[in-house]
Amino acid sequence: MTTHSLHRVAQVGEVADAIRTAAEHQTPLRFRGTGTWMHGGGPFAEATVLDLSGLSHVIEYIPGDLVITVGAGMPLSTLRAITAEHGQMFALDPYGDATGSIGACVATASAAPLAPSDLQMRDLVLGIEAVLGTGEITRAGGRVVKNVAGFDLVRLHTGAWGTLGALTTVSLRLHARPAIDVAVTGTAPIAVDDPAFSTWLDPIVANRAPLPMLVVIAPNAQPRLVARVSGNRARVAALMTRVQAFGVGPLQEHAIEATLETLRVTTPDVAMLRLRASLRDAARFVHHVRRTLPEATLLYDPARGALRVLTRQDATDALASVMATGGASYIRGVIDQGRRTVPTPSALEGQIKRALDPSDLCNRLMHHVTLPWDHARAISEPGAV
Amino acid sequence: MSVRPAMTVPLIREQLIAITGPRWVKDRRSELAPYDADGLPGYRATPSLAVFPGTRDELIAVVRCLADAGVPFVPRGAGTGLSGGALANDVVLIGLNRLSRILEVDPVNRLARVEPGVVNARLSRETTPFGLHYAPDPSSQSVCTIGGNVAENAGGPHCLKYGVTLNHVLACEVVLPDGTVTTLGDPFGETAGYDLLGVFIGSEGCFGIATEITVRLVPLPDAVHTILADFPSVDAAARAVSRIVATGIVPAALEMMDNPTIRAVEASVYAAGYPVDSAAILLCEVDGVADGLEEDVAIIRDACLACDARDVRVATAAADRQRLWQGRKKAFGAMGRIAPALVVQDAVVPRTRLPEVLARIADISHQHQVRVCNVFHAGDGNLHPNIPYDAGDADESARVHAAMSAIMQTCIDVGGTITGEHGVGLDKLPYMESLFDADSLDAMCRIRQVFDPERRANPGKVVPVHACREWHGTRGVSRSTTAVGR
Repeated sequence: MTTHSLHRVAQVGEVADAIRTAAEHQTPLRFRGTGTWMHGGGPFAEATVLDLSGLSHVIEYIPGDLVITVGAGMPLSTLRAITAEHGQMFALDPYGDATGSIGACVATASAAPLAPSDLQMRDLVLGIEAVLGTGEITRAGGRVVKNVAGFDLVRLHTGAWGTLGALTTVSLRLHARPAIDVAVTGTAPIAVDDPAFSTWLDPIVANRAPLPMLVVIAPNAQPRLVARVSGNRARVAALMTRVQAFGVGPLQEHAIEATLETLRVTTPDVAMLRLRASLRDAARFVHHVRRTLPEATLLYDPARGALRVLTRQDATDALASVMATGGASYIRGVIDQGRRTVPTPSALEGQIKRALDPSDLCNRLMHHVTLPWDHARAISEPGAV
Repeated sequence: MSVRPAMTVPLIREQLIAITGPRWVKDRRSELAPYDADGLPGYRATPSLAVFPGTRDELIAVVRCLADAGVPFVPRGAGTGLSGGALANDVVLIGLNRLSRILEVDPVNRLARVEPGVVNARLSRETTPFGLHYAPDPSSQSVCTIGGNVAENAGGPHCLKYGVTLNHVLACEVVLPDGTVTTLGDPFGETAGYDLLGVFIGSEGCFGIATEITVRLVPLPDAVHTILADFPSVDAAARAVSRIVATGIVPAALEMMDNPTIRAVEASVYAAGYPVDSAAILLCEVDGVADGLEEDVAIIRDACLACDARDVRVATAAADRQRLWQGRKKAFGAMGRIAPALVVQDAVVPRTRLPEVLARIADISHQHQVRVCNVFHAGDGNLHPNIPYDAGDADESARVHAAMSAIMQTCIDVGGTITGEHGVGLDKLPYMESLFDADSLDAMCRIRQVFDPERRANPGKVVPVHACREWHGTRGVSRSTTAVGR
């Protein structure tokens, strides 16, 4: 993406003014939080950058409610520090950089490794303030943990990549930190390309314990099982026993923060794919991707069948090669980061874009009225075995 | 195409009969009477005609027939909604209760694919042999349908730990009001693009009708402990809620019942052994891996005792736990003994504000001389102030209405919201402009316009028509809905 100027704002009114001015001149805007993931999504058209990092204050934090409302430009690291003071946490540590902004994480619906209770971003955003492409300042949701008042525009903005408007404020559900929260790791006794790999992975899938797990498969290395074990002492001991029963080498215990940092950090030169297949095909699916992309690092969630692929290959090529050769009865794939092409959006998506950003000012894609993810959709139809 | 008046309906009757057969198209007053109301007293509305498709293809054909004729419609599941959302005033009602097949249970991927008319509790019952269940459990779960749950984004006691309907639906095949069929979401959950499924869930039938729904199933817990704590005051129980939440333990459920509710339950066939002299009880459940649960129970017991609980009991045997839960889940039914009508209200407040809000509700009930029974999801701050009354008494009805308005305003004033799980429907429409400004409401209208440009699906619900700038001058169907006793 090329940018031709940068405009920094610190108040929601300034965001609205900037968007209205952009509307008058029909010049697109590219929203930026702390600028850690400008290479994600897209490809975006040339645009004036609207820097939202000044919107970084706590607007309301009532620890007893386990809810915090902050400016969307607040870095995740700041959010973590503020909530930790009260023994609380925002339960996701999304892939990327810890200095990334919470607004960008919401806008991209960022996934996170070892998320407790299968939590996703859409589960944790209670309310938002967003300035639409019309310059209107709108609010959706609220600051309470249950809310069905009105149509759910919170979910619509979450994962919209800022294409419907600029997020300026987010209200988030927090969790109290459990008494113990650690990562345990152990090495698998068998390599992915061993024909008997399924005899190790299948029982993990079938008996998946109620705890977050990832099978980490680096190039030319034995798979490692990483599990997040949390709760009180008795529960943690019981879960450790379950993990041990999955036939990994001696378990090593690590601070959860250090493990999450290792798993989540990505660099701009790496393409990130999200793939998913039926758990019936778990071993075959992982083996297939390993064989197709031997240089990639794979993070496989054996509870959900989700596979995250980090590769230095061209993202489009990498995804196409996985999809073309099958490996499971159903594979779905999405590019999170890396070069892609952009086909036509669905009718509903196009209409929603026009409803909230009629002049296509907000994070305009390189091809007019197109959306960043449709490339993935077009080639992610059920694949042949 | 413009929306055509109700007089068009007789003209399409024969077309609908051709789709479903004559037995499933009803237009006689006596046949339509059961659909005059939902679970909310005070509102009545009669559909011009009701049609009950028996298959997915029939449902799609019905919606297309209505689209071709430009006729508005209201989808209806079991009619257990409590906000008037399923009322059809002189428009066509599409009953979905015949679409009740469980199409697929996939125990490996822990998901099920169902038709919209499948009853919530039945889905859990039929997946129990696989060691699984469907977690959202509205109090009406023995009759309410998954399609209705999707429309309302229904909750329930166990949503404190497990999440609401939104968190458990992976994909929906949907027929849009114009008859287009599309799939929202992905059955394996790897989605991209706008969260169209997320905005569809809770759209109260205004965005179309789900023809098939794929839901997550959750493993049955290894062990469950249910705690009954007895408090000398509502305030003490409310303080205990905050204290339990702050411990970091996420109970599966954390429910409160006040004394009027306890007495109603204990006087009914649903008697659960609650202490009738208690000012308030908390029903708290922890579940999951067996190891460590007793430690959690001990921490919760201490939290309750620190907030002046008079007694704390723990049930682990299934029969004992079921008895405790029966009282909670049937509390609304038990209140039927008190008066002919019952308003079950729904609002959410920040959890730390529960003590002051409950005190304010008590003041409001004295001021308006109505009896408020509180039974609610305390762990979520999701209040259900219920008022038993005689809907035939105009004066009492007016006082109930005034009390409810005051309670809603109280919840808004403390930073809460007007509905946590029942939906806006008709009943909460007047409060939407207190909660959202004009631009925010208009953005909602514009999204509705995307799904239903002719505004024929559940017209007049959720967002006040006059709040939608493009709709100014439109005839609001809800305006002619009869608000009985209001």
